[in-house]
Amino acid sequence: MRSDRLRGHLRTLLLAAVAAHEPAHGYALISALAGASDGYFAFNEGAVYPSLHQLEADRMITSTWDSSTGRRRRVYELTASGRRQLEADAADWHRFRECVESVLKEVPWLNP
Amino acid sequence: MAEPLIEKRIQEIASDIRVRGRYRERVLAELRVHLEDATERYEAEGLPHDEAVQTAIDHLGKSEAIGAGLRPQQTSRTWILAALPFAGLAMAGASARVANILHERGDRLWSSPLYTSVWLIGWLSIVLLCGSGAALFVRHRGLLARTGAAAAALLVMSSITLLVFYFANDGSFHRADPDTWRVLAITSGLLAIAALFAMMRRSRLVPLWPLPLAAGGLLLVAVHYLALHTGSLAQVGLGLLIAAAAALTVMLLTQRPIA
Repeated sequence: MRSDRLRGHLRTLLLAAVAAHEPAHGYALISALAGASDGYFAFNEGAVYPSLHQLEADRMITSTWDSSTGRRRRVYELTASGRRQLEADAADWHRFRECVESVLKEVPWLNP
Repeated sequence: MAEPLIEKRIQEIASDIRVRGRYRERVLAELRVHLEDATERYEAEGLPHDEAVQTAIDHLGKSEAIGAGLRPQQTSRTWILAALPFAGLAMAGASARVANILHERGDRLWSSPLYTSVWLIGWLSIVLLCGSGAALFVRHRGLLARTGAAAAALLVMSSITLLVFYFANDGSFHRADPDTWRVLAITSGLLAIAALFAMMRRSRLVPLWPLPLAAGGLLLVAVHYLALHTGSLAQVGLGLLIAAAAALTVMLLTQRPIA
């Protein structure tokens, strides 16, 4: 269940992670998501790279090689399109969360 | 020094994922450095080296899952495929220009071997190159690939319908009766719309499809009508080019990434 739910939000989560930590490489983004969620967002790590590449193909992020830390890493940065998409996703998510909470509040035994 | 277990896993992934060229090298480099980073982190958390390597490898997941997600991103191949319809269009345009000169000189289809050869090269270029491009494009998911698929479908159907009308009119685009051409143009436009719709569905160009579909259909009707009515092979080629460029623009402006 959690895996399916995560898969549906992976693009948004990755956009947010790139926005918060850019320029950042894949492993740093995965670690950042796990850290920010206290381990809740634990992905099948190899599957994150195809999603990053898809975001790049959709021009939401860009990537370049970086060797400043000794190892040659591909680092990702947000584009203007990615920023707009993230803003839209965030607004959508806040609205969704408000609606779910409103529905849950109507259940008496969930809200003693 | 390279860690043997990591190298072994990278080689396994390399043989499992079906991506090629520079993109393949990029993917493997990213996964290798990922495993090295993860190993260092697990070692820092107190795991022995071998266990840290194995944990990093386990967390990376199965190569089938990685490969399945990577396959649509074969950008180098996509660029080559994207060139196919336009190569076909260029060859067809050149053939049409030569054919036009020969036609003005008095050569006619089938009676002149040179004229017939030029014609066949032109139309086969469009159908084979655009058709193969379209067939390969629909297996890809990128923006360029989906756009290419739609453009290729547009070109193929335009070419086929024009070819049919050419043969139906004794090997000529000239016709005095505008009403006949009007009917033919509208029919060909509708046929092209149907084909374009089918190709778009197959290539997953579903979101916002009515807009490019309607625009593409209207363009086809207009271009076919103008091309058939004015009766010049060069104008027909130019019309196709304009239609393809306009359709591409519409697609690019209206497409949304499919998650």
